[in-house]
Amino acid sequence: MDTYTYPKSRELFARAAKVIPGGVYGHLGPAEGCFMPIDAYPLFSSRASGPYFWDVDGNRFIDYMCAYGPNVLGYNDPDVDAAVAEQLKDGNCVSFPSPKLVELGELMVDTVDMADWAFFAKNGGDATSFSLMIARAATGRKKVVLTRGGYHGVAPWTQKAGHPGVTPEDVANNLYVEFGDYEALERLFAEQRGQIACFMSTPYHHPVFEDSRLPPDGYWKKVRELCTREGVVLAIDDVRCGFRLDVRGSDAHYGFEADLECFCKALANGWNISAVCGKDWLRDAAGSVMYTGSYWLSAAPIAAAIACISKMREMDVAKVCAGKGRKLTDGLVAASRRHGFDLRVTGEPAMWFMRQSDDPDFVLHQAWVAECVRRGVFFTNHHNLFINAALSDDDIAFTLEVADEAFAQVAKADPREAGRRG
Amino acid sequence: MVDPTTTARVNLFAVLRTLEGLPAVDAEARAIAAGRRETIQFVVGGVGRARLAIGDGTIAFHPGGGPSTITLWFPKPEALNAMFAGTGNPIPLKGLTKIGYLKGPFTKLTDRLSHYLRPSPELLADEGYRKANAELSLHTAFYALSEIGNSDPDGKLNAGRMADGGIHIAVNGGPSLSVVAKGGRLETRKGATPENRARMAFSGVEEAGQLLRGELSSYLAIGTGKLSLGGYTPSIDHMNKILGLVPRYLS
Repeated sequence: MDTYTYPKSRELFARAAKVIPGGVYGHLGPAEGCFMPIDAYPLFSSRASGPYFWDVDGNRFIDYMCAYGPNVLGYNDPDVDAAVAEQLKDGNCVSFPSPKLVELGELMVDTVDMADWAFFAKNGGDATSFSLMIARAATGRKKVVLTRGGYHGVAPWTQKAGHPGVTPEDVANNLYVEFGDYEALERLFAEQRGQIACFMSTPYHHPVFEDSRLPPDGYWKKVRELCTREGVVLAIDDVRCGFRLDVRGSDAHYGFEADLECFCKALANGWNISAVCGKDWLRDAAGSVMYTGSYWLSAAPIAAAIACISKMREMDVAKVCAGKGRKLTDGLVAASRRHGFDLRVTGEPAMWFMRQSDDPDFVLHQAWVAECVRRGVFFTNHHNLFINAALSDDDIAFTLEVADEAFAQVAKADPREAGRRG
Repeated sequence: MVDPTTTARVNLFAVLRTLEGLPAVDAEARAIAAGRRETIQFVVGGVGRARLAIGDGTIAFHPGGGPSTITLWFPKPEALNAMFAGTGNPIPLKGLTKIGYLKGPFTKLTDRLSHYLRPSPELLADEGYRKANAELSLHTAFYALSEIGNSDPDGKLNAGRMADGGIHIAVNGGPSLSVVAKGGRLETRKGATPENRARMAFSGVEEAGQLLRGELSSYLAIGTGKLSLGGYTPSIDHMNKILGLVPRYLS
């Protein structure tokens, strides 16, 4: 199998570096994206369709990052994009919202089990920050309990003390527990009684670098009861998992009901919109918080969300993605074993995490992922991966062929020692 | 915010230590090192002790106290920092008759170090200077990094997040160092160590110098392959947060 090279990506990166800090910043960039070694990776895409993107050098990739989640139906989904095109004929960013806003609110309330109302913004971080403000407005308390390693965006309160641009005051009201440790949460609530506004968590734990952790049996039921008893708002950050696990919301998937639930990513198949859904008792608090943005009520992404949710419901996208995810990950694990490796897969099948066992420093995994990328299968090293509904059996078969060849390549020369030495 | 105790630790255990590498790149330093043998002990209140042994053609840095021919006392961290800033003088406790050595050869050595650590466009036009600047800056920056990780409030937070193990900082065709974390404390060592779990490799001395002088951003260096990373990435991520604090203490 031929391997890819990326001369045009490199040329474009050199141009980018002159006018954009870091060239490509954030999670799509080579540093945060952990592109190791860098020469295995493209840096710019030229187009995308279904489960694929093509880089600026014309190389095709099956994309298992799905734009880090938004691509749930397949890039350029015809139904979603047609809804956007239709809306654009009427208008997009206007001084008054379109009736589509109400239509989407009604659809969210009808789709998401816990939702009595819905509020729309742009990014996942808008939704989590708004949720925290709602909880504070409703309870008159200021502290928030988060899980260690959980990700809730890039606002200063979501970051770590000691990181650039973050002051101690930004995170002074944050308290942390391990995900899934109910007893620790109960103790913390008792120690801080009357001070905690909100417990915010992802529905299952999907940090970077570490295995994903599903909630222990009975965990969420007990947490729900504890939050109710202590008057703490239970906010689920469903930005990454939302709709991929269950169109009714990931709280419904795990058998409980959140007070607030944040959505983004799969909400509109890549069109820019996020949402917070809430319970009735938080409606007034939500209305009292001044929170808005220039493009938050633009009609085209709202039209995209309506089309996307409708299609996800119709096809039962969560079931589709879980099935494809199981088939793929079973095949990847089998491929690893054929070459004497042990690929460990954790999390939910539609957005699994993988690493090599007996590889505490990630050297084998980074080498294997690089070989896959060079052959047209885009994984990242240390973030969870994503399945989209457009992925075909042929795509899975091709991926497994690539994975097998990549394992063979890594097996030829064990990179562990060299990796440690540099 | 710059913490005076951390600044003093950086001055004592990173900047002063860099004198070790000076004879290898500078003829005047070699001549001084080949002269009279002296051991200068620095005693800094609230920080600790260190000694510089100059003679026999070398300069050796020894953390901690011990025998010396000259002992200089600094009652508090700020006093050491004032000497490094050129606004204060030490109190000699031993070797009162050797003030001439301090004002002469030793001052010449520190001037030569400043020459290499404070580049100008004119100096950087010379390839040999650029190489010396890069190697000595690398040494200073990564020894300073451990002091900052062990002392600065933000540095300690980030060092505390690093898993036990080392990061190998290597320059293709140049020196290498390791930053080793254990129990949230950092130690910089020369060369590779068995504890290393991750690597940060510069493609050459030139690229290392560009990055350390701020002429090349780390993100751009990573994107262009001038700086390659690998292995246990979370530790690199936390260490880089401390590396970002180094210019505050060395500027």
